[in-house]
Amino acid sequence: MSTVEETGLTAPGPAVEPPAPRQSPLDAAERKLGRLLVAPGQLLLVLLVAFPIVMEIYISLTAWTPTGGSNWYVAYRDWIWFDNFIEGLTSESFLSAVVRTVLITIVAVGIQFVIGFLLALLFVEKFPGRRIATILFLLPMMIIPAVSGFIWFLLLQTDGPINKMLSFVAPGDIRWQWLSDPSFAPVAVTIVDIWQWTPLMFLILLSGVMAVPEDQLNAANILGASYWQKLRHVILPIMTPIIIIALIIRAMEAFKIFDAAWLLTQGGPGEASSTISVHLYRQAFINSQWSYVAALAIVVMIGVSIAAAQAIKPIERRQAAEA
Amino acid sequence: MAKIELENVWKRFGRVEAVVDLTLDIPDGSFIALLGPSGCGKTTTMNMLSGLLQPTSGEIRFNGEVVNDLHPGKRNVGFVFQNYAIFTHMSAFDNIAFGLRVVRKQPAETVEREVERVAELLDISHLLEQRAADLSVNDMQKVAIGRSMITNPGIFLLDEPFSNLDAAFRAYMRAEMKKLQRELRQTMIYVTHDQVEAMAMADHIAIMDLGKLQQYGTPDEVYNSPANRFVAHFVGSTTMNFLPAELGATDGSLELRLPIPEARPIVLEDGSAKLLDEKGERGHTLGIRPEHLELLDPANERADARGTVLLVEPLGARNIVHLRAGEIDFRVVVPPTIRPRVGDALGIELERKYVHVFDDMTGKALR
Amino acid sequence: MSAKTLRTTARTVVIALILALFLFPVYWMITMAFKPQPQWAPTTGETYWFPESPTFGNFKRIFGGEPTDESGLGFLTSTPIDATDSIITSLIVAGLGTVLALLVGISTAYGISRFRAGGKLLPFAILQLRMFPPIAVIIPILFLWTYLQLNDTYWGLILIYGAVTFPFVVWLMRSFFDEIPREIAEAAIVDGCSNFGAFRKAILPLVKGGLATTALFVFILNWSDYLIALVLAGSRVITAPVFLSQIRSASTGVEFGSQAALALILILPPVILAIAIQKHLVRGLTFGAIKR
Repeated sequence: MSTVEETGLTAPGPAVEPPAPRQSPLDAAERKLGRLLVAPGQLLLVLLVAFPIVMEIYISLTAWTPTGGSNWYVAYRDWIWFDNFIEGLTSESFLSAVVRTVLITIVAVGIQFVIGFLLALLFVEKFPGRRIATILFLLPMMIIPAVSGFIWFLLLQTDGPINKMLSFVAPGDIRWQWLSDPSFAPVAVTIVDIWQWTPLMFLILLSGVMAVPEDQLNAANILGASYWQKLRHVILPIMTPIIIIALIIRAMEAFKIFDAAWLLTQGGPGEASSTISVHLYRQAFINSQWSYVAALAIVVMIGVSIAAAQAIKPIERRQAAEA
Repeated sequence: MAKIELENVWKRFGRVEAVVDLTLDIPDGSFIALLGPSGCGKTTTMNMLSGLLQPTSGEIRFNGEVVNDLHPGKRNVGFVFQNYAIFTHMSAFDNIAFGLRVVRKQPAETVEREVERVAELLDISHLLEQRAADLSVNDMQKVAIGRSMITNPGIFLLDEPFSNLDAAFRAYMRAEMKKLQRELRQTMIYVTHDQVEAMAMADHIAIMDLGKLQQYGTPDEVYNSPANRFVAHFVGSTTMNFLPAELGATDGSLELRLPIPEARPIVLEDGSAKLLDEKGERGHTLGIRPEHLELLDPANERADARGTVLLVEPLGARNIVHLRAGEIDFRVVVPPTIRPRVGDALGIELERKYVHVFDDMTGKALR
Repeated sequence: MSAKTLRTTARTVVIALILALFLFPVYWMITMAFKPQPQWAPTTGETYWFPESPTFGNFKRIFGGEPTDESGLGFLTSTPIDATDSIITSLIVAGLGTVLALLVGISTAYGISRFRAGGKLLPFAILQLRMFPPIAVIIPILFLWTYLQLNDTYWGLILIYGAVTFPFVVWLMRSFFDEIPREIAEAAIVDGCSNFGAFRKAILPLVKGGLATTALFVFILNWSDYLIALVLAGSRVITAPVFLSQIRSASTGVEFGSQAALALILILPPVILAIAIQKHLVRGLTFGAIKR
């Protein structure tokens, strides 16, 4: 009996799918019905994955823009091969947006993990009001991103409550320009992500901690293990797969960060808080560089796919070992 | 090495009383079985001894020292769980080594030497490198025993450790545990709901029901002199016969009349009549173990009652004969050579020495 | 015993502190919605931690009420705001988008779970979609929508919402369907049901709870969207989140009070729905990967 099964944990993605249970063979009619059932879904996928990718590859190899007056399907008239890719991969503002996004992701997800895990450990033991505290703590996650962008826009005003509160605890009258100072703006974007998504990290990790068999903790207790020894040698190893899943899910989402960043700073001042999504949005809708954006989008998709495949490997290995 | 005393120990969970006023002395080096049906409070008692639970009131003392609030890890007890509770993510070796390596931070050579010693004792040396989750349940339990043994605890607590194992291995492990306990001279407390297991292994048996201690004595005592009807019923591989009886006295002897037509009254001539004075008019039950009944020819004048055979269960080493006499069913254990046919009429004799009498109101044994 | 009390106290303090930190922004928005104008836009730089003389003025204002000048300063003269249309628009596109996603998604999920259709590639492609920054996918969609004249229409948004959230339905419903022994459907067929009949009478009742969870979850996702509605609509068809971000007072530049009032209204449905499906929230948010 593996602990992974006990937590009901199957990592997302077919690469780590549990082996299909042996089933009775399907007859031809059933197979046909099955194909029929998934057909609409496949059609939507063609619309959403296949078409955009094919079209994006096509456009990315041209210099087409919507303001040029010609339709996108005749973009071949402005064929330029890989110039867009070369431009993108050498563009300082794109590369710095990538680096910034990676940094924001690492810092935000890291802090989310620490707070989320600490809280999950505190919430394992029953205490009066635990249920209500859990629901309250999940509130930020339920607030729609457009609103959370707005809330933090309010909070981070120069004479807003955050600076006022900081003035209480720190000496002097703090008047940090959260949204217009280039060194503060990326921090503001990170804070919003931490605030909004720590609850999710907490929720996932809590379900993981709860699934640690109590017997094993009792056994460690009787053997005289301290809290840290239990954490290090029992809880953490058992939770590793769920921790990896939580980190992957959060990192993937943080990497896409747009709504809050856009509403808070529009990537500014200048490009000081521009993330990949914000950068693409600005290039497309402010600078109208469509083919360039298409090239960047392809680069990002390839990068994300590789990263996700790498990240999922530890779980794969673990499940292979258990099979 | 430790002697254990429980004094007026109570454990309440909200309004549920799991353990009620339990007082128990467990001498150093003895092997005690805590016996009872599920929900009788035996596991709660174990958890209080291990420190996983604190008693609501009362005192638990190890070697005279109160340990009520002592952390489980500081009590020097070993605990073997019913479902093993081995660390599934570790190897068998790492499981056994846990107490020494992780907790006591012993040097690697010591750890290795001790793990190998314990593994040899349990005959699992060849399994040490395997992942614990991949072991068979039998081996898992051996690893769990090894893990709790390695710190040389003075007290060994086993909570139904073999109930998930197959019958053959269970018998083998019982013998092994008993041998181990003789060698190590630890105080061992063994929880079980299986009275055969308790009788076979323990020096003393504490029988619990509904959170209360029913009887505490040697296997012989609880078998031959059950303190009450519960103990009499619970102990014994073929359940005791219970017969409604009317008490009377003749010439200083106690007379038990069974509601069976033409049955002889059972007269006990050993001064039991004085019971009658104390107990007055209450209802009583006569109890007698199936092996203390004798089957006779129906014409034999020693027969206390006569009945017909309903069923014969041949068990190999012995047969169990079910008889009906009047409205009353008897179970009689007889040697395999005696094998009456269904419908046969037979006489029954009760061995006077082994007749028990229970007060219907309190369940207490009067004799 | 005192060590235990100390630990309990420490834990309570830590939890209370973190909770206060994470809830303050919500508190701020809620109080903001009830503050009269001089308190949400103080000219003195003063901070009002509690709303003094709370008012519904902000709520009246976002539903077309006259901009009241409760400050007596007489500078609030901007045009009226009415969020009613945008809220109705949001309800329609999020609701119908959810219906579309459910129809396509349940069919696909059942096909994968029961008939193993689509092989290994389909679930993977569905997941892949989730990993891409939406902006990277949305641009080619914009071309297509412009070409099909779906841009800035209800149907355009409904279609895209259905398409974007249907992967969730597939993964979630699949995880629910997988928990049902296939013998149940087979038994119903033996009893004379058609395949569809077996699905409707034997399977659907068993996944009712899961279906409700999925529907609410997908509705929350659609309701929350900002980017798609911003890119693919926004001039004629305006959803509530886009409307929220567009509220600007002509005279003062800020409309914090009325924005907060609208924001409060916008977060109510997701919060209520999320609490309703709390038990299954983890499964939804982890794409069915974690089932408890």
